[in-house]
Amino acid sequence: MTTGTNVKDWVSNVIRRDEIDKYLNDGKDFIDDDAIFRTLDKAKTPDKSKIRDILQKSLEIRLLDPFETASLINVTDPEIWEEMFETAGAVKRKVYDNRIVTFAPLYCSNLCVNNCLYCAFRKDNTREKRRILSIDEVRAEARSLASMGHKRLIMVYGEHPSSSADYIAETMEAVYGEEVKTRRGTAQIRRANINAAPMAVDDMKKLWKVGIGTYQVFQETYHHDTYAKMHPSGIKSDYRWRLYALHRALEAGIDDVAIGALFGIFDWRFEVMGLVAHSADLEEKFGIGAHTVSFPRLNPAEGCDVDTNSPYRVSDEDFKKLVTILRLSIPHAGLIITARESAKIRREVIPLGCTQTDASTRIGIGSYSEQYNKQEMERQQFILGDTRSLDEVIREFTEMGMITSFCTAGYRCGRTGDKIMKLLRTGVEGKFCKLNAVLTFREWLDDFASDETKAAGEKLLAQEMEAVKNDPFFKGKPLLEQFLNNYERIVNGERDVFI
Amino acid sequence: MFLSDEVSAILDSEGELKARLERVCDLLFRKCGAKICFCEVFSSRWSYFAGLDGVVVPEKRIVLNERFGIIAENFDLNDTENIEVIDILKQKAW
Repeated sequence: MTTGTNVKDWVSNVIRRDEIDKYLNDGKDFIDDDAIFRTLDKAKTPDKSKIRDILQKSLEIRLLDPFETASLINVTDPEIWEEMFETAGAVKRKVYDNRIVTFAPLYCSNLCVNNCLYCAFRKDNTREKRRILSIDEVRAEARSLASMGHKRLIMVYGEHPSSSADYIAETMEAVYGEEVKTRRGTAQIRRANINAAPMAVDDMKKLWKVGIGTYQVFQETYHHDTYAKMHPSGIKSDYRWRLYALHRALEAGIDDVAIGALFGIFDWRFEVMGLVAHSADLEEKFGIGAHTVSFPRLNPAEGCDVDTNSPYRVSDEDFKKLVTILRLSIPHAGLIITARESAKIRREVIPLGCTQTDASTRIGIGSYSEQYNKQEMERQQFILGDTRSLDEVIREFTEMGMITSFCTAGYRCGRTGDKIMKLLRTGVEGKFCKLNAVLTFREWLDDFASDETKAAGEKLLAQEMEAVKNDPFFKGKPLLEQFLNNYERIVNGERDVFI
Repeated sequence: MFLSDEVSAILDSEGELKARLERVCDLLFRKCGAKICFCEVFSSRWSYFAGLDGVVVPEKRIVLNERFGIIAENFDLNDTENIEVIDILKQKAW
């Protein structure tokens, strides 16, 4: 049991100053607010032909520099915006083909020492029902999720001594250890990504040792003053401890790291520049940029009024623009859109370059296995926009011509870190994405799909198989034979067969 | 010189482990057309550690020891010489 004194002691010992200072440049962090504003200003009224050159650069899967990103941000011509939307979709298809990876969030705890003004978990919110899952409860959650067909999770924790690195590692082991029977085989969670507080290098090594997928820390806002206002107390009030979390993660050996910003608490243009700068700094220092980028928008949350009062709330139109610009600026990174957004918005934004999304989502602590069906503000971090089932969402994707993937192959085959980044940039990884999308989709259809979704899915699979067989990359190569062999193995009931 | 002896000599030589493992990958590719890469293995995670450019189709995943595994393409495990190479890697790739 953690007492008030223990919590205070714990809080005062989390931040290691030396693990920040080593990354600073002349005592400064890599986000220069004034420089960002100057760049945005300098890039005003961009020339059409320059924008088209930038789009061509994105299509070549090359990172954009800050001025190029700022130029895209400043585009006002609707015709150019249409070109940008189309190019973003084309870039995504070039890197990742038509697959969309699906996952589920698993909230393990909402005890928190921080006081973020936009979050229902903040410690001063006394209306929030506090809970941390026991390891048995985590196992029950994992079984429920595996029974729906999920293979990938993002596990989420408040920042608190009770959800330290040791607890997080234990929950990951618990999740990986569960298996359920399905219609024709068995299912399990195969990749656990983590969204947790920034940690010291030693603690991150604990997560690496138990097989973490991606380590995700959102900066929330890159604007220094706004960050200070939104995070008035707690460990999270330290901007730089958070900013350099992923640098520490890479130093600890975790080679897939993810960034994000909460859109709506400051100017979205600035945040886009911040995200791009963050990925660039990781790339410069470690040769590995962001594996994925997330862009949640402010939603209503218990005990918070930031969402209603903020002058920076992002309209749907601007949301589409910022996703497009992120896609173009970091062409090979994954982009995650979540069920925070409504079904309508997801339908419109996913084709602009998103690569991952969630479904059958419940974010109350213990809500999958306890099967509470209605959203409860006092149990959740925020209110969801889309609560549709995985089956329904997959059927919609199928109708949109996108194959749902539950692939976890890359991180089990050495396609991680800078290796996967190179393969993504050259288009090679996308070929493997395609194959593993087909294999995991086959598995999901056989084990979980409703009749209606199965019918739609079979049609799509037939098209995908034809596309693979006719692709010059595969035609006549041993890889095609291995893929067809793997496909047959899954049809015959074998599970977790990947390339 | 047997292939396993050549591998052993590389692993016993001076230099960073990553560089030595990359030399092993290069040797195996030149001598028998096998593509391999070394991964650090943690539970289900196989994190890339060393290898040549390009992708290795994971025809085989072989755990070597507590730290490393290899992903291998075109590497015949029925071949006696290759079995000996694996034995050396298990002992010395550390």
